[in-house]
Amino acid sequence: MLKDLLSNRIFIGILVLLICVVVSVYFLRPDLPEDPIVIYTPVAPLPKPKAEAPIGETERDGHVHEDGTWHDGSHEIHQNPAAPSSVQVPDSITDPEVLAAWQRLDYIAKNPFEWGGHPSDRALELMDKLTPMWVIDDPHDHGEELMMTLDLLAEERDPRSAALLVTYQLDSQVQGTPIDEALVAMGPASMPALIARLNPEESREVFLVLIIRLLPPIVEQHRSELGGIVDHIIIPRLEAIAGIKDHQGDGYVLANRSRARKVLALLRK
Amino acid sequence: MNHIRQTARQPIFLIFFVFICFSVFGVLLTFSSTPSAPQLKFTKWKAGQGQEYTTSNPLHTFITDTETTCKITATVAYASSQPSSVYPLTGYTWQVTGSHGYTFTTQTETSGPVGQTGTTFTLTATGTGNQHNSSSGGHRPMRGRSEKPIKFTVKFIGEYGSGSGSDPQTVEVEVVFEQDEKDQMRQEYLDVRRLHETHRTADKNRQYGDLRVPGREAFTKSGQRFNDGHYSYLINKSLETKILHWWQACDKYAYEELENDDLKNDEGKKKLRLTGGYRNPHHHVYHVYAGQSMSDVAYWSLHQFGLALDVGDMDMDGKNGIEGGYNGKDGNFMELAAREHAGASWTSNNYRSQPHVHAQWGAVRNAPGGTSTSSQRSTQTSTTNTENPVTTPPETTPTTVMGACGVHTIASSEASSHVEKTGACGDTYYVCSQGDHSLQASCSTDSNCISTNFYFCQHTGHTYSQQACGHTYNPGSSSANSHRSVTHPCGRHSYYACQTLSSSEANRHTYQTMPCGNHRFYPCRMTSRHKRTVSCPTQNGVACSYGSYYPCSPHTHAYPSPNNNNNGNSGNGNSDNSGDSGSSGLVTCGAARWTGCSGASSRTAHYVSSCSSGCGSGYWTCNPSAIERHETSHTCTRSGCGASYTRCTKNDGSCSGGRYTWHK
Repeated sequence: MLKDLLSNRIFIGILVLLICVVVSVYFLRPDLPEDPIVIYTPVAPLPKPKAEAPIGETERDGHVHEDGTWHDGSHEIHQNPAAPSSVQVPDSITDPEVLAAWQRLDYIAKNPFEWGGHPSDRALELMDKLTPMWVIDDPHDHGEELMMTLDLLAEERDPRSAALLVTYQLDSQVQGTPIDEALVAMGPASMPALIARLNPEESREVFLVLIIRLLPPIVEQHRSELGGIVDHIIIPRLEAIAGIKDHQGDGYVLANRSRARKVLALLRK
Repeated sequence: MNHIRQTARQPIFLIFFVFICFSVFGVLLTFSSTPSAPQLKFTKWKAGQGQEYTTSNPLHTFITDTETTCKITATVAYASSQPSSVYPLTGYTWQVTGSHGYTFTTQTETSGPVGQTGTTFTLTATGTGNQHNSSSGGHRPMRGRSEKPIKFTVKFIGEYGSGSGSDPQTVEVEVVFEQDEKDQMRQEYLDVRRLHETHRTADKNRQYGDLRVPGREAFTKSGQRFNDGHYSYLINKSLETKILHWWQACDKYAYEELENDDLKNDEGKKKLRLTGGYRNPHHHVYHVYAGQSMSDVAYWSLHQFGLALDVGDMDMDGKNGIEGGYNGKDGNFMELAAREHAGASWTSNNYRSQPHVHAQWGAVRNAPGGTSTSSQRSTQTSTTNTENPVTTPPETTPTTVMGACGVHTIASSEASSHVEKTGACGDTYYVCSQGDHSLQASCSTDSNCISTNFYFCQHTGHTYSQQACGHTYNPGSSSANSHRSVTHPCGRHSYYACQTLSSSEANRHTYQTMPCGNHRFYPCRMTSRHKRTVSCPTQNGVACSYGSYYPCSPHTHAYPSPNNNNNGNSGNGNSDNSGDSGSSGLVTCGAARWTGCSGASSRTAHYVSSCSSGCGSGYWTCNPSAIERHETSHTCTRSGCGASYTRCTKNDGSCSGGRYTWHK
């Protein structure tokens, strides 16, 4: 039978035609495997990650490095704001009374617990959480969480938090009366932080009223303990702020000047 | 009548009548001795966290225990007054149904035999329902649970029977629990807790706890302008006082410290734009925060407790415009004003839709309505001994506590200054924040306000005298524009923008073709000349062939000639018909053969001049063919036209200086 089939010309023709069709279809496929193309490119060595301090506005749960890399969490290298502090006494002082005032301020900075308060681990924990400074960049955020955290820190009344509290009060998007209350309650222990920011040169850029207004209640309660700080450091700085004549219509200068004059009147009594 | 009497005398009828009377009497006797259904009533009922209500305190509103669970207890007893004879209950069932997908498992209890009066029947039902939905997806209205209150129906079905083998009868009593508006609001505080649990870290939830549910008494209707939510109630923790003090502080601050008196004379009050006050939680979470964890603590926002305000930044120093937003100068001034003079605890500069200052009275963790372990703030005891600083906080007894007002931390000795009182205006306030109950204001600066002096607590808005349009509004406000006088296109008439014009009034001021068909203008300016036809006058006893016409239209009166039959010239030419026609003094006008031309007062009496004709050609009105050409109106058959025209003009009928326009 096979022999009959093979001898049939028609069958042979059909078979040949069929084979041709199959072969043609196979070779006409668009996805025929091709020889792989290997591209060799020279690879430059990756730059070593730099453990630099974060730039600009750092978010509380992470930040962007200068090289563009994202670092989740904060660096350990941030200086703990609660580290023992001291006051930088200006070199140019020649008046012994002024010098004594600065030395007194330095003493207060080094002995923050002398006027109350206690070292609080919770405060350190919160200060670490608040460092670096939070930036509220979400337009829907009223800053409730930041207020909440600052409220908890202020409640601790740990004098080591004074500088951080002053920084937030002056430079962040929130203001809090609990911060005021804490700084006043700390008494002389908050003075190094307050005086450090009571800077006449910053009168155009910083709303110094926020700290100027805290001076009278502290001075009223602790004048003798502050020694010459009031007369030789605070009052001269307030006078400098109050004496700015060329305000150029700047709201901060006007406000700082006005409040400084009022507070001066109180402190000179 | 006689017939009836005769019938009544029939013995059969009397027997039948007596039989019926006895039957009726027997039936009544039988029924009067049948026991009645027992009288039952609910004596106590309670759903979720609602009160336990009784017959003397029969409210039925509540909030559930959690977002999805609610326990119901109810007690039914025999009523104290029962009919003289009742069937005892032989059995009973409870049915509990609820909205929002609630289904219940029930436990029942009886205090004694079912059929004994004095027995009470108690139900304890545990229900599970749907979670709240946020289907409104950020759009208003923003009320939880699809704006529907949760509703439960508890039904007690008692069975009793006659004992004669018939089917048992049933008696039902039911109580319906349904949330009123206040509890719908309170339910939202409960509902959104799930979001706190799922969106927040465990640490945050532990730190801040559940969102507190305010008590019913916290919700009032006073101070609606602070209502940024979607109910008719709000929590108003003296927001009027807060905003008043804030405004006054901004004014004082601008004037005294920024040398800017622009905010004086109430200008500051006008510029202090309130952008946010109280928000119900559903609105706060889904609308303001779109359900996202924008800020963890924002879920605990004091806006939900009537203890926060948002105010648009204003130009405090009068220089460089508004410097708001991130630590902006004007925002900083306003923040300090809020803290120094309005008692705000925390403030922030913010952007959301516009630069604004957020101020809140208290800390999130001290939100009223619940307990907070950290709500007590200890004060440190001063000491000068630092030789051996302690490393753990000394045990101190808190000397200050958060006052009942929820705003101040106070010493216990100051408690009397923070008690709640009811003011002259009827609503309650705390003594420590009595400003709006003691402060009076007047509208003297607003000449159109007819309010005189008022307490801020009762002030919900100024009252203005009625304006010309009949509405009351402040003419100095931006809303005045919607009451302005508007002139119609006719140029003669005006209306007020607040009015909705009727269709007839609108039509009256729409430019259109008058009924005369010859003129177009505003119907309000239409006179009778265009809308009322008049009849042609008769002349010498002869009626005008026109019949009637619009006085505004060009017209010529045509009178059929009485001598028409005598002038038997039937030729087609225009014969000269001049000359007197007889002793009557009438003459033949036009061609003698034209019907109606004879007997006129003059030979040209029926002639329409070329300028009066409207087409530039004169014609004789007694000439039928001229009438057909000049006066018979035809309708244009051109597609889409349909206008009328005469053959002589083929135009719109107007004529000016002998020139005319072809019909278009």
